[in-house]
Amino acid sequence: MILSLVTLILHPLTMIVPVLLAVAFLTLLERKTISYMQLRKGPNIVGPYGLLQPIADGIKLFIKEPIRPSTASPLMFILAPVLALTLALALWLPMPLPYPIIDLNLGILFVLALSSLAVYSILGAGWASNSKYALIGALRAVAQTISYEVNLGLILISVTIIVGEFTLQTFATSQESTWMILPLWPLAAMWFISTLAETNRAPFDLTEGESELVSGFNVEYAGGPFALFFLAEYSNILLMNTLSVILFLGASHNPALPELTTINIMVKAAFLSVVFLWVRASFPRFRYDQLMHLTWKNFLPLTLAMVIWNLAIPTAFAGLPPQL
Amino acid sequence: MDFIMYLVLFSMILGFVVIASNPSPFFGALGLVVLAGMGCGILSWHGGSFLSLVLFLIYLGGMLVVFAYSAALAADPFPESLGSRWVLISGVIYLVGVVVVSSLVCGDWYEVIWVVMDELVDFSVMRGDMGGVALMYSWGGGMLILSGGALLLTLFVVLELTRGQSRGALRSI
Amino acid sequence: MSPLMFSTLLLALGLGSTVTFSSSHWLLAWMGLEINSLAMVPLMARPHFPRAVEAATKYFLAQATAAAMILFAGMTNAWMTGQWTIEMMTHPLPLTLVTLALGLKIGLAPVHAWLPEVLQGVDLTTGLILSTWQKLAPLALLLQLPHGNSPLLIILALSSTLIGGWAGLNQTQLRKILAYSSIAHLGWMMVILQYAPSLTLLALLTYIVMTSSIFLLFKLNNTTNINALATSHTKIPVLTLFAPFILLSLGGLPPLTGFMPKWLILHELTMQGMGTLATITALTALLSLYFYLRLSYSMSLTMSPNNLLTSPLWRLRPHQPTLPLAISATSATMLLPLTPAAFLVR
Repeated sequence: MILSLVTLILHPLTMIVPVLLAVAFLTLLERKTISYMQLRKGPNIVGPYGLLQPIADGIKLFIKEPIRPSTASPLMFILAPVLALTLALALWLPMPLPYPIIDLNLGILFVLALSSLAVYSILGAGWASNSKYALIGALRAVAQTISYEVNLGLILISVTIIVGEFTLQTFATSQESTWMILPLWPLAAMWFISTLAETNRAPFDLTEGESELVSGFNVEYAGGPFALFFLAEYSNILLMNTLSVILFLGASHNPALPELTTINIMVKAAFLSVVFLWVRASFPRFRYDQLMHLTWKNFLPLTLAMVIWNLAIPTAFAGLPPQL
Repeated sequence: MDFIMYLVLFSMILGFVVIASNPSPFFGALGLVVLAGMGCGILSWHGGSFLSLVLFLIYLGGMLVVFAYSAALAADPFPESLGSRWVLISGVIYLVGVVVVSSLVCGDWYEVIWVVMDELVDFSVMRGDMGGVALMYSWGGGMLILSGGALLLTLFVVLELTRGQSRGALRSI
Repeated sequence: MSPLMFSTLLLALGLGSTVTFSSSHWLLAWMGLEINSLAMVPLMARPHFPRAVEAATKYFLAQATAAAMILFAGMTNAWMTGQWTIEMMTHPLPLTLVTLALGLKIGLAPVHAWLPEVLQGVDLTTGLILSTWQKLAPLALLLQLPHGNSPLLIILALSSTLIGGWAGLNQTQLRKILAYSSIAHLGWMMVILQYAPSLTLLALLTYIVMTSSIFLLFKLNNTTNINALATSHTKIPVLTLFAPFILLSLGGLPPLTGFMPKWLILHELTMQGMGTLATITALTALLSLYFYLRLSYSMSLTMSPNNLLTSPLWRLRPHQPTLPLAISATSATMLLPLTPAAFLVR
């Protein structure tokens, strides 16, 4: 009984707590990076180098009154942020860092399926708020996310064809000789851009669209529920970067020293996250039709062609000795 | 594990009831989401994990979002939520009906439905449902091509029905 | 609609039915039905006015429901008996389900309500396709099912003939009348289905001939309601004279073609010792006969109260080909002597 309680509660906590901490410091990192890029200091009052700023922010958000608009749908308004954070945390379960919490054979499919579910929380939030800004933001988010998801799925198919299995650990094994980003660099580039769009980050942050939509789907949220959305969003960013690392910048796993693998993955994921922030500081927001054209007219044909290419190449070279 | 599965089966029945008791489309879509998710859960319990994941991905990720999208756009001044009178009444009737029928007709139907393909899980390289996918591609080739053709036709039909600035089918009503 | 799209859809319409004809597997049969009904939807919505779109939507909903039920029944049968073959649908539960679903697809009586609504919304050419070609694939499946001695088909058949005659009585819209006539004729096909399937085929063939001639006639005349029929003698005098024969042939009067299937079906039923059923079926045909007579009356047997100067319209040569009409009208009225004697000598 005790043992199963430990298994059921402590093990997820060992994942959840570091993820939430990482999210907290990612927000700080974001503010600092962007402010230095804009030649200002950023948060530097609360704690040394502003290190306590995210904690102060968190406390502020959670002790604020969670306002609920009187015309909002009561149940769904609260359920949406809860769903968002739950999904964002559940996505971390099959991640091999290098040992996953739950060991799935079809890990990559599981991640894809769950991340496709995340859009429901945004849709629910936008609809339940009963506000036109929130609804428009939610609809934009839905259209954008499912469009880019098609693309993500196709890229994943290409990579899994090369790797040969849906298990996430296999990706590390198959990248022992070379990173997948080298043979598959066009796919990796498209993957990175698609993850930007999938997590609704700048320059694809049309769901937030501060200038025209105030804040998008979460405009009616305040306090705790808003914090849940915020955490979910940043957790998703970190997760997507970790996934990119596992897929394309494989960290080879040495069973004698698993910590090394963790450090390896996390350093690369942190690097990719900084690139996310760099992109946010550098590029202006897309126009909506450009966003859609990018995925449907440019990425989709390319990825489809690459799927066929990656199917054909291993088949064609299957009989050749590996030196060639 | 049994308790989780009872929970899943029960949620599936609840999903059915939510759809069948005829609330507003948005809540109906919610019921459908729950139903589909739980159905995938049952499928994976019985060994079809690949099938259930792919189904989940396609069904929930693609189709239902589009459906929920259109349901959210449709204006409904007085939505029938799950607590509305008739929805609640018919929901309760359906639930009671399910209980009565299942207690009459009977018991362990779910234990004999699916045959898990993987009796020797530890020794098998490939899972049963993945093998099924491979079989589908090797033996069901003609049928797959025809299905692909039918899907292409569906695409044409939808494009033809919704094409044009002002003369798309849905706009002419 | 671009010509390329139009021809693609027509091709798919034909392909769908053909796939269903040639399949022995439920999945393939279902797929054929889906291709067929999907291709039909944009063809129905082609005129792009609200009524046509409404009709297309209703058609899509009814057909999609029926197709889903067929798939469900096929899978249930495969689960229960391990057979995907159409002839092997032996378990009564999926058999009943699939019979009802196919009834919904062709518009048999308890589930007929979509047919008049849909047919009223589409133009006459599409209506012609709807009431002829679209019936073929589901009927091919119905013919292949192993029906035993099921009362279900008799119930479907009797209610179809009854409702087809009854509900058509009060209509003034020609397409609705034709829809009800279609329901009644399908009832006649169903009543004999489990005793002599070849008679079902014969009835289907004669029905297709008759209904296409009447659809083509109305198309040439450009009429969609009874009132407009009254002026048809000024537009197409010869066909106006001929129309009552086609209509009465649909009603099943000797010595016209329409008498043949009814005669043979009643004969077969009495031979099988089902005198009551035969009597009831024959009596329900009288209901249909009423509205056929009414159409003939207002089209050819009266003149509308006009003065002579205004009544003749300026007659143009018809732009549409009349050969199909000529052939179908001739065969709709004069085929009785070709009655296959094999059905009579038993």
